[in-house]
Amino acid sequence: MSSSEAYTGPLEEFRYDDKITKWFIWATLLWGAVALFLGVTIAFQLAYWKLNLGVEFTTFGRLRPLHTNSAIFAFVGNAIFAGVYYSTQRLCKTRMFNDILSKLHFWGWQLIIVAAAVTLPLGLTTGKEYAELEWPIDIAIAVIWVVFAINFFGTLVKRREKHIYVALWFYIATIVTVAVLHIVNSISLPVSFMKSYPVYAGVQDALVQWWYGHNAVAFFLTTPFLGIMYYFIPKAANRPVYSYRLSIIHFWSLVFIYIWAGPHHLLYSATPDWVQTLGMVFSIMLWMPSWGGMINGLLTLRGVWDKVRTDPVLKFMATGVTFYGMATFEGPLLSIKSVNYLGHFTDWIVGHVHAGTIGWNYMMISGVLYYLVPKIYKTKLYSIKMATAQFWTATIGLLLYMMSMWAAGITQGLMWRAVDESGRLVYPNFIETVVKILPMYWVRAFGGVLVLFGFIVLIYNIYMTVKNADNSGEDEVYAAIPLKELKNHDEHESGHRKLEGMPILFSVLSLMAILVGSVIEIVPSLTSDQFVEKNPEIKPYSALEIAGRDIYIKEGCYVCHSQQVRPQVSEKLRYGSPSTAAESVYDRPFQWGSRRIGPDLARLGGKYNHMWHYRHMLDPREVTPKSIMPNYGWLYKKKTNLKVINKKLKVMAALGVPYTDEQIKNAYSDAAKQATEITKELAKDGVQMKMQDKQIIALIAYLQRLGVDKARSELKEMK
Amino acid sequence: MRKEVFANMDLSVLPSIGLMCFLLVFVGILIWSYRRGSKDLYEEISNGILEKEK
Ligand code: HEC
Repeated sequence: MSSSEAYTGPLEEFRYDDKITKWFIWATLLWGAVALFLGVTIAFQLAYWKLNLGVEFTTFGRLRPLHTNSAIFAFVGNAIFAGVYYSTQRLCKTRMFNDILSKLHFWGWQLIIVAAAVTLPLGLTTGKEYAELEWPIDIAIAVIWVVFAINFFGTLVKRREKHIYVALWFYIATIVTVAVLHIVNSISLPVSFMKSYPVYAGVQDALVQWWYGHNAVAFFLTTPFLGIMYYFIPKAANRPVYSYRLSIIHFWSLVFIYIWAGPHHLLYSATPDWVQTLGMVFSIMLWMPSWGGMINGLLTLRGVWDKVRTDPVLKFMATGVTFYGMATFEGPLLSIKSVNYLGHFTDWIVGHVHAGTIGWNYMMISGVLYYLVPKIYKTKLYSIKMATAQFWTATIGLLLYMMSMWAAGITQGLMWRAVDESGRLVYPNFIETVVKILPMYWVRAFGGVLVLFGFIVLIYNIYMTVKNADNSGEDEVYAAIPLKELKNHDEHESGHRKLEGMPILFSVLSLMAILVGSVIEIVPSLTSDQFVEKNPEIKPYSALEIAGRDIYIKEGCYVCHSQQVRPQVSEKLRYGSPSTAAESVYDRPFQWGSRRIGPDLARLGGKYNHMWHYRHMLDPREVTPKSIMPNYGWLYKKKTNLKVINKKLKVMAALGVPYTDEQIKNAYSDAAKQATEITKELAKDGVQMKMQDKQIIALIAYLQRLGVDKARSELKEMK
Repeated sequence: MRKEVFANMDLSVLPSIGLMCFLLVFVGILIWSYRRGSKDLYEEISNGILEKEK
């Protein structure tokens, strides 16, 4: 029984702003197609390396960040905003707080996406996964997020509904946490307009980055969609949520636990054991609230299961929630250290994230679109058959994707660690383990094509729906009791209702819930020396090596190569001694990577001569037949940018890297000198001396430095 | 000062502290969610969103 039934006074009339929802819907369609197309493109690039096209802007290393950023922030982002703007107004029985803020939010966000689409192919990147955008764009994101927050909280404050429904809780947690994550992870010192170095280095940077990275999954891909689930599934099924109490327990447990899970990306790395234990334990616990949410969503459909067969909205949402359940089972499983040792750095993880983004986000988004478009255009869906066709192509495509990635990941993981009786690697040549899984890359790419094709069918279906709608009408007028009156009515009520009615207090509590884990996990690493045992043999990079490192970052080598040897026998045999925290104290940003499409590079220095690298980067197949690494021809034509090298060292010094004034002053000439030395070496094999100012030389300088200090310190210890 | 505190602390107690924090929050929420009158309230809220908009 609703308390509003007792009220007989005057009602307030208002209109919802559905135009803004429409805009976000169209943006979702556009960017969804782009993101999926990019995904399919890079999938084919791995199966068939020539599709890198030999052009710098289209190589895998630059397009993969564009794919992930556009999928997460452009496609899913716009869909979140469409769902949030629509449901928040209904749940608050009021129009959005301010139309200008809504528009600013929309256009600002699209501009940020365009900026990403331009800068990432140009190689302007921070080199931190899912946070690749450079500092001016980061600032724009923060500003637009605040605009969104003001608009959202303003709406909550002027609402005409006493209660704050659980969907809104999830939106609040999203807005608060994403702001914290984005700002803390992006803090950096600019070198120039499109280049900066993070304030964190090595282990600290890794911890902050994966605290951010995993919680981008949690608070961008999950919590807003749980809010959407709690609103749209009951609406579409016309039944209340299965258990509101469960939704409360679900919310607080999920928000509290999720924030701790980040270090499961760093198992067996040089981070301290207790951090890894924390990440593992909390990731496994996360299974509980995740399934609580899944069960709550699915059981809401009890009694209307027949509708799931016929209604595209429920069909997509029920499937989305089911895949959510699968992905949130797989995640905790992969966080168990021994399982992680097999799965980490392989395609298993890639399959896992796509079970989430396609299975959960894409499916939920499709369901939301099929619900929203007929509703706000006041018409019927153009074709249910087409929606069903999309459902099957997408589902089959996703299953092909997941199964091929399981097969590829587990196969490669087992091959990497296979050691025979005599204690030698069974597959010492890394490329063997790549060639083995290439057929799976074709299957994956084909699965991706099906998912993309399904989305194009959806776009056509929605386009026809809107085209056939009567688009002339005014927005409908609604009426509701003013909040003021509701409050007067409930003066006598006990404290907890007031609590639920207080968005500010609620936001503060959510903030506290996420800060507990963040502080306990991150702060010790930022302040403690105990973390990183000093090793006097580890020296800062030379000026040329810094320039080379920035090329490594720019080309996105980190999306295919790790720099982190795990403390296990097979790793030691293949790469060398395990990575230590001390080794990356000067790495800004850290480049430990997350996927080994190619071998680990942490112990690369001195493994080959300069000429090997020179030939390998020009055409990897010349030295490693069947390699799938792209050609990097432009590195042999473009000059190394040494104009800002002094500034780079200066910024590094300001961040705590012990460069002397001398080194900073002489950065340019030191770099030139080192480049000449390397080129002289190469000249013995016929390379011309005029190559000395080209990017390839700086890159070789960097590659030859990797792991060298560590090796020297080990030698000293032995003596 | 803060540095010294962290440096001399055995950080391996932090996972246990984390778990205790969670246990407290969880039990707290559980008890709170069963407070008197909550059942009717939940029913009101969850049915509320299905009300026909006027
Ligand atoms: C598409 C993924 C991909 C990208 C991007 C990529 N690589 Fe590779 N890389 C590979 C693969 C696969 C191999 C193994 C086969 C081979 O030796 O070419 C490899 C091998 C290497 C090796 C030899 C390592 C060893 O120990 O034998 C080096 C060095 C290397 N890559 C450097 C780079 C650099 C530098 C970049 C960025 C400019 C880069 N790679 C970008 C996939 C990639």
